[in-house]
Amino acid sequence: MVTVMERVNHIPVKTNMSVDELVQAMLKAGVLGAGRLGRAAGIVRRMFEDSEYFTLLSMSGPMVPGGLRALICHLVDIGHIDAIVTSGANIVHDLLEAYGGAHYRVPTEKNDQELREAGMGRIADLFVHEKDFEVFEKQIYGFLDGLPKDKMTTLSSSEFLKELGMTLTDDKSIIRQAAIKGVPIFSPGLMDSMLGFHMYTYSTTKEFTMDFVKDLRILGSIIKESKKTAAIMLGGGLTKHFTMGSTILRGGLDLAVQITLDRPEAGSLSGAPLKEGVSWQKVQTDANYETVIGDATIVFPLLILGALS
Amino acid sequence: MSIKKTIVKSLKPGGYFLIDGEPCRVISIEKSKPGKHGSAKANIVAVGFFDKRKRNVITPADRMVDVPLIDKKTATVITDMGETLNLMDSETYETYEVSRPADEELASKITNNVEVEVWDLMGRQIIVRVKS
Repeated sequence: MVTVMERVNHIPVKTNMSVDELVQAMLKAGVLGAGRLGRAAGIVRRMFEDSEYFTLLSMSGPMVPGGLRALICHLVDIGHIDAIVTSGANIVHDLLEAYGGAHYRVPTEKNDQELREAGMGRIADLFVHEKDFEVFEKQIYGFLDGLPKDKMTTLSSSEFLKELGMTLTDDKSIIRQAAIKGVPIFSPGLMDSMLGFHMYTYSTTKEFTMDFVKDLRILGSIIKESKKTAAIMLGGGLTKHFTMGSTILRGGLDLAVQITLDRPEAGSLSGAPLKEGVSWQKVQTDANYETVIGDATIVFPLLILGALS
Repeated sequence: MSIKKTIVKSLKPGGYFLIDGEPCRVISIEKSKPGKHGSAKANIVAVGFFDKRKRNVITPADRMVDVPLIDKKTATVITDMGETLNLMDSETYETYEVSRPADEELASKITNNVEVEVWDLMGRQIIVRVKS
């Protein structure tokens, strides 16, 4: 009996390698994180090249503040992403920049007490000025003021974000691109964000509610009509489950890639391997999937630029 | 024109402003500093003038709100028709109808010929107290 053995091919010393070449080299190394990344890039390439895949991008964690805004916006723009499932925070941070704000590195000498007094809210080693949040509030209030009465109580999160996206003028905004290109953005946890907070305060002066149930009908009928489904999941949490769970009536995702730093020992979905999803009918038994353990701000650019080449 | 605009931070307890079209009397107003939540906020507890419903409003303190212009008049009760009352304005001698006050204590003091204070706001007229 002959066992074919796949050798670990060491990554070559070739300066000026393109991202695609580096990712291919990692695929040829074939083991540990490099191997996972190489295989994940192949799966993502299939998602992008085969238009029969309905591809969802799920994101939790500071993906927009972490520098991935342009990549995600580009994927929406060129039609490689068919739907986004995101935390409210990524929406807020995309809007902060759309309204003229920015994200900055925390100056090393400042501690959190000093940041608080200076009106700088910290996310790890980056921060946002409170002033940008004041602009954000005014803009959101202005948008809500302009909503016609029939839309004040009937919109789902994806419908709301589409309406909002159409009012933006920043072409680098994910929400704007998604609105223009008809890519729905689902945010099941939207109330847990500054956008949700402003909806709450606004609703104390005027009737305003959202229909979150409707989004399940909207996504449900899209999934039902899709030939095959695929997902790229950055981080875990609510958005990972919402993405996987949306395919439950058809037996799960056909292709899946996740990038996470979460550990599996706690049993939470965030750190769970994708193969666990097979037992829940949230991943097909013959699905192609790969998990890359790592920081999405490192892995996602390699994955995408590798797959786009 | 029965409404004028004013800035939230100028509202005081006892003052009136419109919440979703309903005139409400301010019971208390607390301010908070700006932060991640945006600009300085006013946290207002108010009660509806017509529906007596308590409301809690949280709003940016620099937002403009509508304030009802209140015309306070005196009138005499001419006829008690049960659900409504016929009044005569003490200055213009015009007669008009108002609803019987919902408040039991106030309604019990109303008989023919008593003088009442009437508030005219948002196109509606309400007896607020009996004067004599």
